[in-house]
Amino acid sequence: MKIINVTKVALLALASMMLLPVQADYPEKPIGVMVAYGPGGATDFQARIATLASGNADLIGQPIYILNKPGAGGRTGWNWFASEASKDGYMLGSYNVPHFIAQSIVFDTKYNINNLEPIGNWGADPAVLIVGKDSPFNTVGELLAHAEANPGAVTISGAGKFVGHHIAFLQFAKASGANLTYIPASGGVDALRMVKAGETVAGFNNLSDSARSAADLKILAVADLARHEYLPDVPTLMESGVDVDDSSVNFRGLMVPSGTPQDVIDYLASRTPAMFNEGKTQGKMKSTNSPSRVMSRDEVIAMWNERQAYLTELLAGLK
Amino acid sequence: MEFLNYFDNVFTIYHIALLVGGTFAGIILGALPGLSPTMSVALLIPFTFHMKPESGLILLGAMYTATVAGGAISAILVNVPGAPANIATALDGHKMAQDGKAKNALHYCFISSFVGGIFGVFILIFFTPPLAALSLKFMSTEMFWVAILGITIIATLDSKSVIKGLLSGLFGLMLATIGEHPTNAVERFVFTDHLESGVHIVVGLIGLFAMPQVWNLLENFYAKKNRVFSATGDATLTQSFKLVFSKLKALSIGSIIGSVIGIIPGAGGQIAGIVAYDQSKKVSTNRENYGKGEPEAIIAAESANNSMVGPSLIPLLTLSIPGSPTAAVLLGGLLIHGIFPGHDIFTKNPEVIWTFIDSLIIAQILMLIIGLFLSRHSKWIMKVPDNYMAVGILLLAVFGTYSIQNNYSDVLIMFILGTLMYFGSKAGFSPVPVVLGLILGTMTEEKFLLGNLIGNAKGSSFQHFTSGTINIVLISLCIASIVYGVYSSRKSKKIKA
Amino acid sequence: MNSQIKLSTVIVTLFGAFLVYSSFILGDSENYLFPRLISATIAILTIMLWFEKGEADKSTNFKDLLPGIAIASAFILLLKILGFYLASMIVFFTLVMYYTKPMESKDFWRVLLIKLGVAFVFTFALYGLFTLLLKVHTPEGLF
Repeated sequence: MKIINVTKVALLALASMMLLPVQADYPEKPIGVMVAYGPGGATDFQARIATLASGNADLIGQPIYILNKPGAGGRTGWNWFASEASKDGYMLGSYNVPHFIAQSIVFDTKYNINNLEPIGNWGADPAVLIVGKDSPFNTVGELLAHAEANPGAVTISGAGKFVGHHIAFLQFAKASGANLTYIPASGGVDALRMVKAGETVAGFNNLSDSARSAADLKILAVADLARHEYLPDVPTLMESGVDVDDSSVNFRGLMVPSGTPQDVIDYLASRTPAMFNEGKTQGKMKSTNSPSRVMSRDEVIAMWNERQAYLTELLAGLK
Repeated sequence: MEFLNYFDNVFTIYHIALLVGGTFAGIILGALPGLSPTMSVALLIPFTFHMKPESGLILLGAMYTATVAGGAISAILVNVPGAPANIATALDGHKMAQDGKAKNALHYCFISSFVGGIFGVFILIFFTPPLAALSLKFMSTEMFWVAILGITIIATLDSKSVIKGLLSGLFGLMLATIGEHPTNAVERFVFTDHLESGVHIVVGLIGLFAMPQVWNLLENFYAKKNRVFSATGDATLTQSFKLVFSKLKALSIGSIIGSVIGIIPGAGGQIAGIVAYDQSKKVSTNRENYGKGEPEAIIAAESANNSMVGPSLIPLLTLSIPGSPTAAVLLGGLLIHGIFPGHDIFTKNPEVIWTFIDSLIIAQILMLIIGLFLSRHSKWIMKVPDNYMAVGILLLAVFGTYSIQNNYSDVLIMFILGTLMYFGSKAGFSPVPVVLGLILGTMTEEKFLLGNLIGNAKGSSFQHFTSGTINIVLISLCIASIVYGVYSSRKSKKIKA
Repeated sequence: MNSQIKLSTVIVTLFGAFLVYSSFILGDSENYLFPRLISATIAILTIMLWFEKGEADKSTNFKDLLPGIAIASAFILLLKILGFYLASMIVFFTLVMYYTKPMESKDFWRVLLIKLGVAFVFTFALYGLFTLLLKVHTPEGLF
């Protein structure tokens, strides 16, 4: 078997060298990364930090620039990426799991996980359950007890529909059986404002942003499998007795459209984890409070497939 | 008086160079149609990446200050506002330019921007803690009423025909509903994929103002004589300063309204200029001249725009809540340098924050000097032949539109919308209420829906919208604005009859 | 009502009818609440517009305007194929050549060369400012 594989790879390599002589020199010019959100947002500046070291010869070997294509909750950018972006490895895209998978399930999009190929993952930002600093609730249990006594009265804000916060909310409502009201704000910043101002009773928001605003908030729980290094004292939802896993964690990473030559994908996949792990990059991630989690292409493929299956089931009734 | 201790950090050769460069570039970029303050600050953030935090912030602050004022240059000279904030300036500023008083209009604009800007920065320095608390009190219902207050202005903005003014405004509101539903994420009116992300405010602004100007220049190319330059345009600086400071009422209305609107979270900042214009018109003794080249109108609008800058940073720095779209981009600029907004920002990073705030004062002064210097050369722009001017505006409009979201669909939307507007203006419709409707539409609908969801969860949506001091004050202001609008239109009809 | 029905009023009415149709017939009541409110108000105002004694529509000099619209439209479509800068140079040159005042064109070749030069300089200035200095992205194409 091994011998056959080796021959196959050798033949493929030979074939690709003959068919695509240009690819041998890849990359020979700067590479773009399409970000489906506007400049200044978390995905945008994390993408800039994560790709900071790309110019190093032992990493990607070419500088990376960012191309923002915001609109329609990210779908404008992702639709463009799958249907119009060049498939030569000079235009990468950033993904946000679970957002982009959830939206491809609910909406009629031009992209889905089958026409995109992941390259590597740089970060994972879990959702946290937060209440205002003057809130009477100090634990998840107290909040749920209040919800039980007042069905529908507990309002929980998040950054819109079909994003990580919304997924966390759906899981939380399902697992706890409580009657809760989701308030879809126009973005994470506005959702956080609602909790700080006491406009909503609680909220799901990014761990990174909430940890920064700890003085105005009480963070009740993390929607992940384990506690987070930034907030060692905050329990997970599971520890608090609500069976919610890590499906809402906001994973960020790079991908290319299907149809990109395999050797380009392999080149990028073998070098991006090292780029994300580069010392200066990691230091900058830390100083900007951006939770890092580097994953290889194979790990991301597995994670995508798992999320696709789970979200299809979770969102089935919501289309 | 802690802020006085950090001027040393500003007065280094490197920082002064950054300030001068940032201010000069900001005025130029702001003056190019399509490169709004938000866009310019966003473009600059990657440049600050490798700088020290305070240096990066100084550059961004200078850019924010200067682009807001620079947007008035194109509003005055070519009737294309550089940003939504400068719409009100175009109304009277361009009339003055047509009368050959472009230089005067620019003088008024930069002097009043300076006064408003300094006022705003001092509000930021001295009143941050109480105003941050006030800012948090503006929730969905309050923001809804602010948007409604903006809508009540629409009818009286363009006085020729109330019906056409209202129809224009409603058309703008309708444009704002294209694309994603604010809370349900359902797509509406997406007849083609090009409309998927809706009509971006700045895309609409460029189309509605720049394209009609292009068509106007070309249509009348052979018919029109060269533009008029009367000697009255050569007012001296002293005369201009005297005039601006004699309009204390307009200056204070502008500065105060700009500051108040600046601290309201969200898209509010963009309407500061137009609200100040409207209010100063209501109390002015020259109100009949508004829209015909009245200096007071420019003074009110521009002092409001720049006084908005400082206060829009109050909720940003202490609560991580931006008070304007530009402040929202600035938030990314802060985070990327590891500066986390919060109540303790002044104790945790005093060096960086006070240096930044002090540099804003210097940036205002530089903006005034550079702006007045450039005003002297405005005649060069006015001398550009019409065919070159038309193609120049066209190219900048297309470029500016594309660069906002890197989306070709936006270019098509801009082009078609602008061409429709040109023919609409032949029938007496005005672009100003359309843009105002576009800005306020999303805000109105979104805040209504969110307030309604929260109100229903609390028991009564109606009660949720009508309780609370700020809500009651805002509702009264809305009623007053409508009543006054009806009263003044009756009165002006009587005068005409 | 005016003795002469204004073209603009007819167009606004048709447009209003389209908005009412698309928000009441095509849309559902939950998601289209706002569009329905707005289009209903537009409908009422449109009816009032028929009874308003306003100024007549301004006439349009299509002879001079339409060539400009045609050149600009071609530019918008060419953007995606040729890229921003090449298309810009072409449209700049074409527009200023087409719109030439009679007194300018004494020496045709001189005028042509000057305009070509200005188109070049302007486009390169844009390229220098936007692509080289600000690193903004423009519609891509050949160049």
